[in-house]
Amino acid sequence: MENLGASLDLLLNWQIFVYLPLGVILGAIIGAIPGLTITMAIGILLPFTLFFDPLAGIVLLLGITKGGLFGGSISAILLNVPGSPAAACTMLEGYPLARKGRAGEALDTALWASFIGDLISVLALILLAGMLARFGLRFGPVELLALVIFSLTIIAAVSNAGLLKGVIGGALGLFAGTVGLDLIYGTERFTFGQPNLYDGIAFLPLLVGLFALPDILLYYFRPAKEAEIEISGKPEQRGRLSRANFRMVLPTILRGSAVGIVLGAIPGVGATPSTFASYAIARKTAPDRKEFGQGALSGVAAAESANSGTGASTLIPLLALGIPGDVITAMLMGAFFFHGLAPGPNLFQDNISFVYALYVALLVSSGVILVVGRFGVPLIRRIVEVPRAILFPMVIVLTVVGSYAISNSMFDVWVMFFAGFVGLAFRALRVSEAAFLIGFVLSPLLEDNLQRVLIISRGDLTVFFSSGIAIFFYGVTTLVVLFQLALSLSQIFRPAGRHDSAISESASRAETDGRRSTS
Amino acid sequence: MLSRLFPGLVLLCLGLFLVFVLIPMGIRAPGYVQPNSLSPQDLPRLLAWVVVAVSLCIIFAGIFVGGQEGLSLGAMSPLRGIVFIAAFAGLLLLLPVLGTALTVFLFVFGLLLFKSRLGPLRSLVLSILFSSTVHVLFIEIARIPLPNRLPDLF
Repeated sequence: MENLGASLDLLLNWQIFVYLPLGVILGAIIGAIPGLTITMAIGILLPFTLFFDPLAGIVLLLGITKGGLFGGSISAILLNVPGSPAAACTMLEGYPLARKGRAGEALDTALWASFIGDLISVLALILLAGMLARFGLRFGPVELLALVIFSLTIIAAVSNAGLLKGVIGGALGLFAGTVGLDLIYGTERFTFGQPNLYDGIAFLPLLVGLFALPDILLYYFRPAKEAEIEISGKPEQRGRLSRANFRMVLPTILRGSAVGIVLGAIPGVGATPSTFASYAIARKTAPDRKEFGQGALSGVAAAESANSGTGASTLIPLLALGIPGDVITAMLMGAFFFHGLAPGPNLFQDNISFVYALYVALLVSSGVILVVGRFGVPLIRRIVEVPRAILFPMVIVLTVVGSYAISNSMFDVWVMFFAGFVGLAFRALRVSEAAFLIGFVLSPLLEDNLQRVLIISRGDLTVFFSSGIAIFFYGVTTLVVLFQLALSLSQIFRPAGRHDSAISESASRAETDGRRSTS
Repeated sequence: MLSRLFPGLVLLCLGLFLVFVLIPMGIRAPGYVQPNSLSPQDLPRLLAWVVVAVSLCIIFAGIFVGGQEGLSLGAMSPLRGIVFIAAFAGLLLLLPVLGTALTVFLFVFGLLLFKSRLGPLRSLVLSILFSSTVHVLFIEIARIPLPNRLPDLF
């Protein structure tokens, strides 16, 4: 009861009432604009949240994530431009529906699927995170080391860039994380006498540079004709989802939500693969499966429910074990640290009232999505059409101000500037930026626990396998790597099917559109 | 063929640079290292060797396995990019000298003229409005100590 009272105190703060809906609205707008992404938005806004109360700051960022997951569907359905790669399947079914004059039905389906998917995902988080955290309390250095290796390997293995480029990204991220003073001996590493680097490379400028700048740089590097995304057709938004059709798509929504929750909770998988998996299942099981490819409500429902189903489930490993599963949770982990909170089992012991308040805010934000989606779509659609030539100069100024505000230092701004070019090089070489960032975040945890295990071992390397939990993580890691290798080999020798190629084409278009303007 | 090998070669050069240049120059080994523990150089060196080994695998895959992607960023117009980078670097260099409001105004106005189809007058109005908003919001309200030269000017 005492904790609940403290949670209520945290929640009854004007900042929560302002920033929670603001986050969802901003997320929906940003998610809908093909040139902007959720990662870019969080990267730009994260420094400013440091001036807020911890809960308000984190709720704003979570609101952006949730709103963004839904927002991608708006431009996918209305404009045939996926706001994010995860909205590619929504575009495949939603735009043909819009062309038939059923844009309102498609948007309603996307909205209800997002709302239900997100709500179930939050409930799964509430149910599972505490249990997992209790389990996590049993982890010592041996188990933590195995968990970090497991997470990094999985993230590298399932990254879009492929296993090898994922491993390179993770290794470079871990390497970048070693910059600064050594934890044990206090030796300077790669600081070259620069005091600003004694605490390592600043996380937020690196984040902003890696995830916000490359897209902007690419935009200005492109010839004028290619830079702007052409918005084809502006179908009318009419009609609403009937009760009969809602009943028809509901099982697909529930199935999609389950897929999103399960895949979202696995480090490295994230929204896009979950969406494709759910879409593939719906193509075989939905009542209107014959309409797939020409505009099926179940297709939109499957994609959007899985997409939003990942929203809160990606937080399970972060909150319970302190392990970020994707780029957004890695960014959120940074936000937690900046507010003096350490995600992981201890969060549930030391700050349980904060965790409860976060749960309530997440539940409320699910409802906010419904309101924003119901009444905000016409306005969002107008904003989506603002050219990036007008948006980007302002976005750049915000990245500069945000990077400066972290420690009132131009050094951080220059770090952000150079990180932008590193991000561009990663794009060109197709090295996984996500694996890099997660490697960077986990680097101190890996080194610290590796050091402890080595000292405990006194030269006996069997200590690494002295725990059942550690053996389990190493076993799963090995299996995933072997599976990924087998999958890569089979893809080399197998020709793609017709519909598969249509899906992958739309996905690559989403990615290209994203990369053209953002990723 | 060469374009398929290029990413692997670049990464290999990076890995070798880390192993043979950056680590020896960037980390001074401590006088004493506790037995059975990592010295400050060990983890970076291990990671650098991982980069070398994996980039060799990428080169190997580029030679023997089809479908490997080369460098790919799509059609580029280097001149436009250079103009933008110069403007961006100018923003960062001039910020401490001219202050936030004036630098942001010049930067936004320049980029709007350069890329948007707004025309000079609307670009000017938008730039003034935006730079004023940045000044009021971040310097006056949020009290972020961004470089501010307006008091010197007025």
